Amino acid sequence: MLATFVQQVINGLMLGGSYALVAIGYTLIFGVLNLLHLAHGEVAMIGSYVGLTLVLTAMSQFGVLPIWLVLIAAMIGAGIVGIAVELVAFRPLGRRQLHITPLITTIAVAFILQEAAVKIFGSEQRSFPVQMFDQLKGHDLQLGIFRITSVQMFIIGASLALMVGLYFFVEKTQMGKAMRACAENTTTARLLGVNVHWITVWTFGIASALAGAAGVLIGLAYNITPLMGVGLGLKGLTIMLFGGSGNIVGAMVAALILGMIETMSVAYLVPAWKDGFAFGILILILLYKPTGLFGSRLQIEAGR
Amino acid sequence: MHAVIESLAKVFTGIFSLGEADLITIGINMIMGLSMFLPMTVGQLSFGQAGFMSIGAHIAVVLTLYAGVWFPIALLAGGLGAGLIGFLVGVPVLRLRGLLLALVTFAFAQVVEVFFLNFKPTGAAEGIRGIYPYTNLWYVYGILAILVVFLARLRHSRTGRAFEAVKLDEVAAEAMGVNVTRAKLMAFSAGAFVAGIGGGLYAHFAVFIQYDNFDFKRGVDIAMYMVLGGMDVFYGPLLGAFIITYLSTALQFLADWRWEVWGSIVILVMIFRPQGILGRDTLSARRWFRRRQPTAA
Repeated sequence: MLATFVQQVINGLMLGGSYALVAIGYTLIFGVLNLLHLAHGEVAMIGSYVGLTLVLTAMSQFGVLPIWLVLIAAMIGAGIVGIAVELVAFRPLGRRQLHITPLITTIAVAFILQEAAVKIFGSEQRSFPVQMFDQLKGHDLQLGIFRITSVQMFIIGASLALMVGLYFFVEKTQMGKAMRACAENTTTARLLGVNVHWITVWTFGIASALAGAAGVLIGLAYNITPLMGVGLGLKGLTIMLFGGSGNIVGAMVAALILGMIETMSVAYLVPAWKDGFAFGILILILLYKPTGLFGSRLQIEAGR
Repeated sequence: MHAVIESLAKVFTGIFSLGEADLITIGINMIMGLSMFLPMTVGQLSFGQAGFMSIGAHIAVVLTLYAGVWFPIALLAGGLGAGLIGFLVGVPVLRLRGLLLALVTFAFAQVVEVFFLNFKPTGAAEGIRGIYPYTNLWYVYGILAILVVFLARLRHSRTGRAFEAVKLDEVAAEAMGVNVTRAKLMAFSAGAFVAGIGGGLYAHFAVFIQYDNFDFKRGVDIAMYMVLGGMDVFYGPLLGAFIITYLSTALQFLADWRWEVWGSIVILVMIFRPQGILGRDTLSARRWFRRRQPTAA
């Protein structure tokens, strides 16, 4: 009983860590642009396919790639896709738009990416080859009766490392400061000499790179399908609102909570109602705590 | 090249050879587009119309199939049921605006989907089969005509002007004596009512409904009708519904690439006409015959 519970906690941590990476990307983009990027989950999906393709090609040529290299490649691939999305679906719209216009363009991008993925990679479920996991073998952690596999450790460790890295990037570096300035007030940031266009591009790049990493990590734990982005995107969105929009630390904590809730509800409640719970929580948050659990830096109401 | 021109020509000539089923689908989608337009008349963006459609469809089907109720009455009951739920949901939800409202209504539609996925009396995941095919062109376009007349008259009525005021500026409208909450609730519930009727029509046309007929994609489609066609005038969603429904079948010749082409069209329209294809000025003669004046940037 206790063993399953602890196992669920570990699964929750694993899931939550990956969700957090997606949600942080959401929060970054939302913070800087004050717009929702509904193709963000699809960017993560592309990231995991980039990783998978790389692994498979490398395996047919010379051998198994180290797992961290795959992660970095997927991040770069997803980052490029994310920047392309910004240039195609956000930039041309200008800043003074109705909220709904970027929603629609990014949904269109999401459909395009899904269809492209089906076409290029096929619609069936894929997963990383077994040889990939062999390099992690033998490092399983045995704590009494509990067992954390090395894959789980890698997933949790990589997502934590990325989160900490991002936190320091945003808080301590020059560019991170510029990003926060843009999130606070774009006009003022521009007056103070921040190149807002450039920062926007970088924000998209970094957010999408994190999503790509999440795609690979989720792909390691579960499966890769062209439709995996839909669920990921929705969860990232829920977590962003849960943690407070624009609040990076909030998103991290909320992601861990939601990951736990999800694994627990699968284990102990009716699985078919799982998504109902997630959206029920979303509705309650929006109605009674629209700034999220940990407060929002931003005003997200703003008319229509 | 020749083949391309020929297939493009076919896209246009195809309009004149639409079958009854196509016309019914287009009509139902137009009704759904209007159901999204109604909340928009007070500036409310509701992404939950698929949920109300689902509720209306299920109520109407249960009535005709298990209780033998006359179809128009069942339709009306489906609409009223959806409208009532819309009213109940609207009371807490309409405090929110803009993006947050869009998200909360969207989440509502998802909850409705999960509800019907688990609701045993309507077949849970299997859905309901063997629905009587009552829906025909008369019902669809009759209801559409009533809606169009209603919306055309609404614009110049007292209520319509109040809606317009709320849409433009809530605070000013309130100061002018408009009951903002009431106006919002009316428009939102009316939208839910229309969506419920559309759901009833859809169910008795498709003869088989399942929880995922009213999923995320349906909601996005409905939103696209309005956004692409134009969200300031009621004939915008009509055009949007027609274009989207028609093109998604007419672009068959693109075979595998039609979603990519389709998505690109949507993005382009949004870039150049963010308010949708039809705006308040599009059909005004004055605009087209007026001398071009340089406008201040």
